[in-house]
Amino acid sequence: MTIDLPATHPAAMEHHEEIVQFVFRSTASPGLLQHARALLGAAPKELAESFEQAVRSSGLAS
Amino acid sequence: MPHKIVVTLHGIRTRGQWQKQITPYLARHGLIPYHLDYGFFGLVSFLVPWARASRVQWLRSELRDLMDRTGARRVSLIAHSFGTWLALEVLEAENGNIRFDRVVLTGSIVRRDFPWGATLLRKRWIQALRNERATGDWVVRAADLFSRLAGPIAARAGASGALGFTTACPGVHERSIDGGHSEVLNIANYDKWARFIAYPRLPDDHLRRVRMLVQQIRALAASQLGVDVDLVRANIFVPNANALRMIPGAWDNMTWAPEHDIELELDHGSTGRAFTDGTPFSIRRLGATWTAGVLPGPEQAKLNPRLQWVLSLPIGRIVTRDELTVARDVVGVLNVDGLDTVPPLLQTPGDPTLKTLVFTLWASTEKIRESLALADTGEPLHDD
Repeated sequence: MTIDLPATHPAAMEHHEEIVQFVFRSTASPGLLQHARALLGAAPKELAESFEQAVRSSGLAS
Repeated sequence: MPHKIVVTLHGIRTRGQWQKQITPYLARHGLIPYHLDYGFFGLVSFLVPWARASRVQWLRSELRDLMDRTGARRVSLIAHSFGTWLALEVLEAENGNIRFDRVVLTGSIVRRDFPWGATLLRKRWIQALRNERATGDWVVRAADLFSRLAGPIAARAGASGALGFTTACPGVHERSIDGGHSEVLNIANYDKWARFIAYPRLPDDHLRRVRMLVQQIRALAASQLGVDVDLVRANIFVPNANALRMIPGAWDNMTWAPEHDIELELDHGSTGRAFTDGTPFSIRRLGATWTAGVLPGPEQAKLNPRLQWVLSLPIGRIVTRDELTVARDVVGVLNVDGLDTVPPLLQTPGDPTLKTLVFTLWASTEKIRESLALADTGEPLHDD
Protein backbone atom coordinates (compact mmCIF):
# COMPACT_ATOMS: atom_id res chain seq x y z
CA MET A 1 0.00 0.00 0.00
CA THR A 2 1.21 3.47 -0.77
CA ILE A 3 -0.15 6.93 -0.64
CA ASP A 4 0.35 9.08 -3.66
CA LEU A 5 1.88 12.47 -3.16
CA PRO A 6 -0.69 15.01 -2.04
CA ALA A 7 -3.01 15.73 -4.93
CA THR A 8 -2.62 19.36 -5.81
CA HIS A 9 -6.00 20.97 -5.72
CA PRO A 10 -6.24 24.51 -7.14
CA ALA A 11 -7.07 25.72 -3.68
CA ALA A 12 -3.83 24.29 -2.34
CA MET A 13 -1.91 26.52 -4.68
CA GLU A 14 -3.52 29.49 -3.02
CA HIS A 15 -2.40 28.11 0.35
CA HIS A 16 -5.92 28.16 1.72
CA GLU A 17 -6.11 24.43 2.25
CA GLU A 18 -4.36 21.21 1.38
CA ILE A 19 -6.33 18.26 0.04
CA VAL A 20 -4.82 14.78 0.00
CA GLN A 21 -6.06 11.65 -1.73
CA PHE A 22 -5.23 8.33 -0.08
CA VAL A 23 -4.48 5.69 -2.69
CA PHE A 24 -4.22 2.12 -1.38
CA ARG A 25 -2.43 -0.53 -3.39
CA SER A 26 -3.45 -4.10 -2.68
CA THR A 27 0.10 -5.41 -3.07
CA ALA A 28 0.89 -4.17 0.41
CA SER A 29 -2.33 -5.39 2.00
CA PRO A 30 -0.92 -8.19 4.24
CA GLY A 31 1.18 -5.77 6.28
CA LEU A 32 -1.61 -3.22 6.28
CA LEU A 33 -4.14 -5.72 7.62
CA GLN A 34 -1.77 -6.84 10.35
CA HIS A 35 -1.25 -3.27 11.54
CA ALA A 36 -4.94 -2.43 11.25
CA ARG A 37 -5.95 -5.44 13.37
CA ALA A 38 -3.42 -4.45 16.01
CA LEU A 39 -4.89 -0.97 16.03
CA LEU A 40 -8.39 -2.41 16.48
CA GLY A 41 -7.25 -4.65 19.33
CA ALA A 42 -8.67 -2.38 22.01
CA ALA A 43 -11.62 -1.15 19.93
CA PRO A 44 -15.24 -2.23 20.58
CA LYS A 45 -16.07 -5.58 19.01
CA GLU A 46 -18.73 -4.07 16.71
CA LEU A 47 -16.07 -1.97 15.04
CA ALA A 48 -13.70 -4.89 14.64
CA GLU A 49 -16.54 -6.99 13.19
CA SER A 50 -17.39 -4.27 10.71
CA PHE A 51 -13.74 -4.10 9.66
CA GLU A 52 -13.45 -7.87 9.23
CA GLN A 53 -16.66 -7.96 7.19
CA ALA A 54 -15.17 -5.42 4.78
CA VAL A 55 -11.90 -7.32 4.56
CA ARG A 56 -13.71 -10.58 3.78
CA SER A 57 -15.94 -9.09 1.08
CA SER A 58 -13.13 -7.08 -0.50
CA GLY A 59 -10.94 -10.12 -1.07
CA LEU A 60 -8.02 -8.44 0.69
CA ALA A 61 -7.75 -11.30 3.16
CA SER A 62 -7.17 -13.95 0.49
CA MET B 1 -34.74 18.55 6.56
CA PRO B 2 -38.41 19.40 5.90
CA HIS B 3 -41.10 16.78 6.29
CA LYS B 4 -41.90 14.96 3.07
CA ILE B 5 -45.35 14.95 1.52
CA VAL B 6 -46.56 11.56 0.28
CA VAL B 7 -49.29 11.54 -2.35
CA THR B 8 -51.27 8.30 -2.52
CA LEU B 9 -53.22 7.31 -5.59
CA HIS B 10 -55.66 4.42 -5.97
CA GLY B 11 -56.48 2.24 -8.98
CA ILE B 12 -59.60 1.45 -10.98
CA ARG B 13 -62.83 -0.02 -9.62
CA THR B 14 -62.00 1.11 -6.09
CA ARG B 15 -61.87 4.18 -3.86
CA GLY B 16 -58.63 3.10 -2.21
CA GLN B 17 -59.38 1.79 1.27
CA TRP B 18 -55.65 1.12 1.65
CA GLN B 19 -54.96 4.87 1.45
CA LYS B 20 -56.71 5.37 4.78
CA GLN B 21 -55.00 2.36 6.36
CA ILE B 22 -51.48 3.48 5.46
CA THR B 23 -51.76 6.90 7.15
CA PRO B 24 -50.42 5.92 10.61
CA TYR B 25 -47.44 4.13 9.06
CA LEU B 26 -46.48 7.26 7.14
CA ALA B 27 -46.99 9.46 10.19
CA ARG B 28 -44.76 7.21 12.28
CA HIS B 29 -41.84 8.09 10.00
CA GLY B 30 -42.57 11.81 9.96
CA LEU B 31 -44.25 11.77 6.54
CA ILE B 32 -47.30 13.85 5.58
CA PRO B 33 -49.96 11.84 3.72
CA TYR B 34 -52.01 13.47 0.96
CA HIS B 35 -54.61 11.06 -0.34
CA LEU B 36 -55.97 11.75 -3.82
CA ASP B 37 -59.29 10.33 -4.98
CA TYR B 38 -60.49 10.58 -8.57
CA GLY B 39 -63.68 8.66 -7.86
CA PHE B 40 -64.76 5.23 -9.00
CA PHE B 41 -63.15 4.64 -12.40
CA GLY B 42 -64.55 1.57 -14.16
CA LEU B 43 -62.90 -0.85 -16.52
CA VAL B 44 -64.86 0.53 -19.50
CA SER B 45 -63.55 4.02 -18.74
CA PHE B 46 -60.01 2.67 -18.73
CA LEU B 47 -60.54 1.49 -22.31
CA VAL B 48 -61.57 4.96 -23.50
CA PRO B 49 -58.66 7.28 -24.41
CA TRP B 50 -60.35 10.58 -23.54
CA ALA B 51 -61.45 9.23 -20.15
CA ARG B 52 -57.88 8.30 -19.35
CA ALA B 53 -56.61 11.65 -20.64
CA SER B 54 -59.05 13.55 -18.46
CA ARG B 55 -57.68 11.77 -15.38
CA VAL B 56 -54.11 12.62 -16.42
CA GLN B 57 -55.10 16.31 -16.66
CA TRP B 58 -56.83 16.08 -13.28
CA LEU B 59 -53.69 14.66 -11.65
CA ARG B 60 -51.46 17.31 -13.25
CA SER B 61 -53.71 19.99 -11.84
CA GLU B 62 -53.87 18.38 -8.38
CA LEU B 63 -50.09 18.02 -8.12
CA ARG B 64 -49.38 21.56 -9.30
CA ASP B 65 -51.90 22.91 -6.83
CA LEU B 66 -50.41 20.85 -4.00
CA MET B 67 -46.87 21.97 -4.76
CA ASP B 68 -47.92 25.61 -5.12
CA ARG B 69 -49.72 25.62 -1.81
CA THR B 70 -47.04 23.78 0.17
CA GLY B 71 -43.94 25.13 -1.55
CA ALA B 72 -42.68 21.56 -1.96
CA ARG B 73 -40.29 21.14 -4.89
CA ARG B 74 -40.93 17.39 -5.00
CA VAL B 75 -43.51 15.08 -3.50
CA SER B 76 -43.23 11.35 -2.90
CA LEU B 77 -45.84 8.93 -4.20
CA ILE B 78 -47.44 5.59 -3.46
CA ALA B 79 -49.67 4.42 -6.29
CA HIS B 80 -51.61 1.29 -7.12
CA SER B 81 -52.61 -0.13 -10.51
CA PHE B 82 -54.10 2.60 -12.76
CA GLY B 83 -52.67 5.13 -10.33
CA THR B 84 -49.15 4.01 -11.30
CA TRP B 85 -49.95 4.59 -14.97
CA LEU B 86 -51.44 8.02 -14.26
CA ALA B 87 -48.44 9.14 -12.22
CA LEU B 88 -45.87 8.27 -14.86
CA GLU B 89 -48.00 9.70 -17.68
CA VAL B 90 -47.99 12.97 -15.72
CA LEU B 91 -44.25 12.72 -15.18
CA GLU B 92 -43.57 12.40 -18.91
CA ALA B 93 -46.17 14.99 -19.91
CA GLU B 94 -44.72 17.57 -17.51
CA ASN B 95 -41.21 17.06 -18.91
CA GLY B 96 -39.47 17.91 -15.65
CA ASN B 97 -41.88 20.61 -14.40
CA ILE B 98 -43.25 18.15 -11.85
CA ARG B 99 -40.73 15.87 -10.17
CA PHE B 100 -41.20 13.14 -7.62
CA ASP B 101 -38.97 12.39 -4.67
CA ARG B 102 -39.29 8.66 -3.85
CA VAL B 103 -41.94 6.53 -5.51
CA VAL B 104 -43.58 3.21 -4.59
CA LEU B 105 -45.44 1.44 -7.39
CA THR B 106 -47.77 -1.40 -6.43
CA GLY B 107 -49.60 -3.57 -8.96
CA SER B 108 -47.98 -1.40 -11.63
CA ILE B 109 -49.39 -1.36 -15.17
CA VAL B 110 -46.59 0.91 -16.39
CA ARG B 111 -44.88 -0.44 -19.52
CA ARG B 112 -41.93 -2.67 -18.72
CA ASP B 113 -39.48 -0.68 -20.84
CA PHE B 114 -40.16 2.64 -19.09
CA PRO B 115 -36.92 4.65 -19.52
CA TRP B 116 -35.65 4.62 -15.92
CA GLY B 117 -32.06 5.34 -16.94
CA ALA B 118 -33.09 8.72 -18.38
CA THR B 119 -35.92 9.48 -15.96
CA LEU B 120 -34.23 8.52 -12.74
CA LEU B 121 -30.49 8.75 -13.28
CA ARG B 122 -29.98 11.48 -15.85
CA LYS B 123 -32.95 13.81 -15.57
CA ARG B 124 -33.60 13.11 -11.87
CA TRP B 125 -37.37 13.38 -12.36
CA ILE B 126 -37.57 10.71 -9.64
CA GLN B 127 -35.02 10.14 -6.87
CA ALA B 128 -35.67 6.43 -6.26
CA LEU B 129 -38.27 3.77 -7.07
CA ARG B 130 -39.54 0.71 -5.23
CA ASN B 131 -41.59 -1.55 -7.53
CA GLU B 132 -43.73 -3.84 -5.40
CA ARG B 133 -44.97 -6.63 -7.65
CA ALA B 134 -46.94 -9.87 -7.38
CA THR B 135 -46.05 -12.77 -9.60
CA GLY B 136 -49.67 -13.96 -9.87
CA ASP B 137 -51.13 -10.57 -10.81
CA TRP B 138 -53.46 -11.29 -13.80
CA VAL B 139 -54.79 -7.72 -13.88
CA VAL B 140 -51.48 -6.21 -14.94
CA ARG B 141 -51.02 -8.98 -17.49
CA ALA B 142 -54.48 -8.16 -18.90
CA ALA B 143 -53.48 -4.49 -19.11
CA ASP B 144 -50.38 -5.55 -21.00
CA LEU B 145 -52.47 -7.65 -23.40
CA PHE B 146 -54.89 -4.77 -23.97
CA SER B 147 -51.96 -2.50 -24.71
CA ARG B 148 -50.71 -4.90 -27.37
CA LEU B 149 -54.05 -5.67 -29.03
CA ALA B 150 -56.06 -2.47 -28.89
CA GLY B 151 -54.04 -0.47 -31.41
CA PRO B 152 -54.53 3.30 -31.38
CA ILE B 153 -56.92 3.35 -28.41
CA ALA B 154 -54.50 1.42 -26.20
CA ALA B 155 -52.85 2.85 -23.14
CA ARG B 156 -49.09 2.47 -23.11
CA ALA B 157 -49.36 -0.17 -20.43
CA GLY B 158 -47.39 -3.23 -19.40
CA ALA B 159 -46.99 -5.99 -16.84
CA SER B 160 -44.28 -4.37 -14.71
CA GLY B 161 -46.42 -5.15 -11.65
CA ALA B 162 -45.92 -8.87 -12.27
CA LEU B 163 -42.70 -9.20 -14.21
CA GLY B 164 -40.73 -6.10 -13.23
CA PHE B 165 -39.02 -3.55 -15.44
CA THR B 166 -36.59 -4.48 -18.20
CA THR B 167 -34.85 -1.13 -17.79
CA ALA B 168 -33.77 -1.38 -14.16
CA CYS B 169 -30.85 0.79 -13.06
CA PRO B 170 -29.36 1.96 -9.75
CA GLY B 171 -32.16 3.53 -7.74
CA VAL B 172 -34.79 1.08 -9.01
CA HIS B 173 -35.57 -1.49 -6.31
CA GLU B 174 -37.69 -4.49 -7.28
CA ARG B 175 -39.62 -6.45 -4.64
CA SER B 176 -41.74 -9.50 -5.41
CA ILE B 177 -44.37 -11.56 -3.58
CA ASP B 178 -46.51 -14.55 -4.51
CA GLY B 179 -50.07 -13.39 -4.93
CA GLY B 180 -52.42 -11.25 -6.95
CA HIS B 181 -53.28 -7.66 -7.76
CA SER B 182 -54.72 -6.71 -4.39
CA GLU B 183 -52.43 -8.84 -2.25
CA VAL B 184 -49.54 -6.56 -3.14
CA LEU B 185 -51.33 -3.99 -0.98
CA ASN B 186 -50.40 -6.03 2.08
CA ILE B 187 -50.49 -4.09 5.33
CA ALA B 188 -47.26 -5.85 6.30
CA ASN B 189 -45.50 -3.78 3.63
CA TYR B 190 -46.74 -0.37 4.69
CA ASP B 191 -43.96 0.24 7.20
CA LYS B 192 -41.31 -0.67 4.61
CA TRP B 193 -42.81 1.76 2.10
CA ALA B 194 -42.80 4.51 4.70
CA ARG B 195 -39.16 3.73 5.58
CA PHE B 196 -38.23 3.78 1.89
CA ILE B 197 -39.82 7.18 1.35
CA ALA B 198 -38.42 8.67 4.56
CA TYR B 199 -34.81 7.87 3.54
CA PRO B 200 -32.25 9.42 4.07
CA ARG B 201 -33.92 9.96 7.43
CA LEU B 202 -33.09 6.68 9.17
CA PRO B 203 -35.59 4.60 11.15
CA ASP B 204 -34.66 3.78 14.75
CA ASP B 205 -33.13 0.33 14.13
CA HIS B 206 -30.69 1.58 11.51
CA LEU B 207 -30.02 4.86 13.28
CA ARG B 208 -29.05 3.11 16.53
CA ARG B 209 -26.50 0.93 14.79
CA VAL B 210 -25.12 3.66 12.54
CA ARG B 211 -24.78 6.12 15.41
CA MET B 212 -22.99 3.55 17.56
CA LEU B 213 -20.43 2.87 14.82
CA VAL B 214 -19.98 6.58 14.14
CA GLN B 215 -19.27 7.15 17.84
CA GLN B 216 -16.75 4.31 17.90
CA ILE B 217 -14.97 5.53 14.77
CA ARG B 218 -14.77 9.06 16.16
CA ALA B 219 -13.30 7.78 19.45
CA LEU B 220 -10.74 5.61 17.67
CA ALA B 221 -9.71 8.47 15.39
CA ALA B 222 -9.28 10.87 18.30
CA SER B 223 -7.17 8.44 20.33
CA GLN B 224 -4.93 7.51 17.40
CA LEU B 225 -4.51 11.10 16.25
CA GLY B 226 -3.62 12.08 19.80
CA VAL B 227 -6.21 14.85 20.12
CA ASP B 228 -8.85 15.68 22.70
CA VAL B 229 -11.96 13.70 21.78
CA ASP B 230 -14.12 16.76 22.47
CA LEU B 231 -12.43 18.46 19.50
CA VAL B 232 -13.27 15.62 17.10
CA ARG B 233 -16.67 15.16 15.45
CA ALA B 234 -18.19 12.73 12.98
CA ASN B 235 -21.08 12.86 10.54
CA ILE B 236 -22.42 11.16 7.42
CA PHE B 237 -23.28 12.83 4.12
CA VAL B 238 -25.48 11.10 1.52
CA PRO B 239 -26.74 12.24 -1.89
CA ASN B 240 -30.12 13.90 -1.65
CA ALA B 241 -31.62 16.03 -4.45
CA ASN B 242 -28.39 16.69 -6.38
CA ALA B 243 -26.33 17.55 -3.30
CA LEU B 244 -24.68 15.81 -0.37
CA ARG B 245 -26.51 16.38 2.90
CA MET B 246 -26.07 15.09 6.44
CA ILE B 247 -28.26 12.25 7.69
CA PRO B 248 -30.13 13.75 10.66
CA GLY B 249 -28.98 12.16 13.91
CA ALA B 250 -26.32 9.94 12.34
CA TRP B 251 -23.60 12.08 13.81
CA ASP B 252 -21.56 12.49 16.97
CA ASN B 253 -20.51 15.70 18.72
CA MET B 254 -22.07 17.86 15.98
CA THR B 255 -23.21 20.61 18.32
CA TRP B 256 -23.01 23.53 15.84
CA ALA B 257 -26.62 23.37 14.62
CA PRO B 258 -26.27 25.40 11.37
CA GLU B 259 -23.96 22.68 10.03
CA HIS B 260 -26.80 20.17 10.05
CA ASP B 261 -28.25 21.85 6.95
CA ILE B 262 -25.04 22.17 4.93
CA GLU B 263 -25.32 21.18 1.27
CA LEU B 264 -22.16 20.05 -0.51
CA GLU B 265 -21.69 19.75 -4.25
CA LEU B 266 -20.98 16.24 -5.42
CA ASP B 267 -17.35 16.86 -6.37
CA HIS B 268 -16.40 19.68 -4.00
CA GLY B 269 -13.91 19.41 -1.15
CA SER B 270 -12.79 16.20 0.45
CA THR B 271 -16.38 14.99 1.00
CA GLY B 272 -17.40 15.46 -2.62
CA ARG B 273 -14.16 13.98 -3.95
CA ALA B 274 -14.41 10.94 -1.67
CA PHE B 275 -17.98 10.41 -2.89
CA THR B 276 -17.14 10.61 -6.59
CA ASP B 277 -13.70 8.94 -6.54
CA GLY B 278 -14.39 6.18 -3.97
CA THR B 279 -11.13 6.76 -2.10
CA PRO B 280 -10.46 8.53 1.22
CA PHE B 281 -9.46 12.19 1.17
CA SER B 282 -8.28 14.57 3.84
CA ILE B 283 -8.32 18.32 3.82
CA ARG B 284 -6.77 20.80 6.21
CA ARG B 285 -7.17 24.50 6.31
CA LEU B 286 -4.07 26.61 5.79
CA GLY B 287 -5.64 30.06 5.47
CA ALA B 288 -8.15 31.99 7.55
CA THR B 289 -11.15 30.62 5.65
CA TRP B 290 -12.11 27.84 3.30
CA THR B 291 -12.13 28.64 -0.42
CA ALA B 292 -15.29 28.69 -2.53
CA GLY B 293 -13.98 25.71 -4.49
CA VAL B 294 -14.27 23.70 -1.31
CA LEU B 295 -17.37 25.32 0.14
CA PRO B 296 -19.39 28.10 -1.54
CA GLY B 297 -20.16 31.20 0.53
CA PRO B 298 -23.72 30.46 1.70
CA GLU B 299 -22.71 27.01 2.88
CA GLN B 300 -19.48 28.30 4.44
CA ALA B 301 -21.58 30.60 6.60
CA LYS B 302 -23.18 27.52 8.20
CA LEU B 303 -19.83 25.96 9.06
CA ASN B 304 -18.36 25.95 12.54
CA PRO B 305 -15.58 28.57 12.17
CA ARG B 306 -13.31 26.45 14.38
CA LEU B 307 -13.19 23.60 11.84
CA GLN B 308 -9.59 22.93 10.80
CA TRP B 309 -9.51 19.52 9.15
CA VAL B 310 -11.70 16.79 7.68
CA LEU B 311 -11.00 13.14 6.92
CA SER B 312 -13.56 11.88 4.37
CA LEU B 313 -14.16 8.14 4.07
CA PRO B 314 -16.36 6.91 1.19
CA ILE B 315 -19.01 4.44 2.36
CA GLY B 316 -19.25 1.77 -0.31
CA ARG B 317 -18.34 -1.81 -1.16
CA ILE B 318 -14.56 -1.95 -0.72
CA VAL B 319 -13.11 -3.89 -3.63
CA THR B 320 -9.74 -4.43 -5.25
CA ARG B 321 -9.44 -3.59 -8.94
CA ASP B 322 -6.21 -3.37 -10.89
CA GLU B 323 -4.28 -3.60 -7.62
CA LEU B 324 -6.08 -0.58 -6.21
CA THR B 325 -8.45 -0.76 -3.26
CA VAL B 326 -11.47 1.47 -3.82
CA ALA B 327 -15.11 1.82 -2.76
CA ARG B 328 -17.78 0.95 -5.36
CA ASP B 329 -21.51 1.75 -5.23
CA VAL B 330 -20.75 4.56 -2.82
CA VAL B 331 -23.84 5.43 -0.75
CA GLY B 332 -22.36 8.25 1.30
CA VAL B 333 -19.29 9.67 3.04
CA LEU B 334 -18.33 9.42 6.70
CA ASN B 335 -16.51 12.56 7.77
CA VAL B 336 -14.32 12.62 10.84
CA ASP B 337 -13.26 16.22 11.43
CA GLY B 338 -11.68 18.41 14.05
CA LEU B 339 -11.71 21.85 15.62
CA ASP B 340 -9.02 24.37 16.58
CA THR B 341 -5.84 22.50 15.60
CA VAL B 342 -4.63 20.05 12.96
CA PRO B 343 -3.13 16.89 14.54
CA PRO B 344 0.57 16.53 13.60
CA LEU B 345 -0.07 13.11 12.04
CA LEU B 346 -2.48 14.63 9.50
CA GLN B 347 0.26 17.02 8.43
CA THR B 348 2.43 14.14 7.23
CA PRO B 349 0.29 12.34 4.62
CA GLY B 350 3.00 9.80 3.76
CA ASP B 351 3.38 8.54 7.32
CA PRO B 352 2.67 4.76 7.46
CA THR B 353 0.90 5.21 10.80
CA LEU B 354 -1.56 7.59 9.17
CA LYS B 355 -2.03 5.21 6.23
CA THR B 356 -2.93 2.39 8.59
CA LEU B 357 -5.31 4.56 10.58
CA VAL B 358 -7.13 5.84 7.49
CA PHE B 359 -7.54 2.32 6.12
CA THR B 360 -8.74 1.00 9.47
CA LEU B 361 -11.36 3.72 9.88
CA TRP B 362 -12.42 3.34 6.23
CA ALA B 363 -12.91 -0.43 6.34
CA SER B 364 -14.74 -0.11 9.66
CA THR B 365 -17.57 1.71 7.86
CA GLU B 366 -18.76 -1.57 6.29
CA LYS B 367 -21.71 -2.10 8.65
CA ILE B 368 -22.72 1.52 8.14
CA ARG B 369 -22.77 0.80 4.40
CA GLU B 370 -24.90 -2.25 5.03
CA SER B 371 -27.43 -0.25 7.05
CA LEU B 372 -27.62 2.62 4.56
CA ALA B 373 -28.09 0.22 1.64
CA LEU B 374 -30.92 -1.56 3.45
CA ALA B 375 -32.55 1.68 4.60
CA ASP B 376 -32.42 3.01 1.03
CA THR B 377 -34.70 0.15 -0.06
CA GLY B 378 -36.98 0.41 3.00
CA GLU B 379 -35.85 -2.88 4.52
CA PRO B 380 -35.29 -3.19 8.28
CA LEU B 381 -32.09 -4.25 9.96
CA HIS B 382 -31.58 -8.00 9.84
CA ASP B 383 -30.40 -9.78 12.95
CA ASP B 384 -26.71 -10.61 12.81
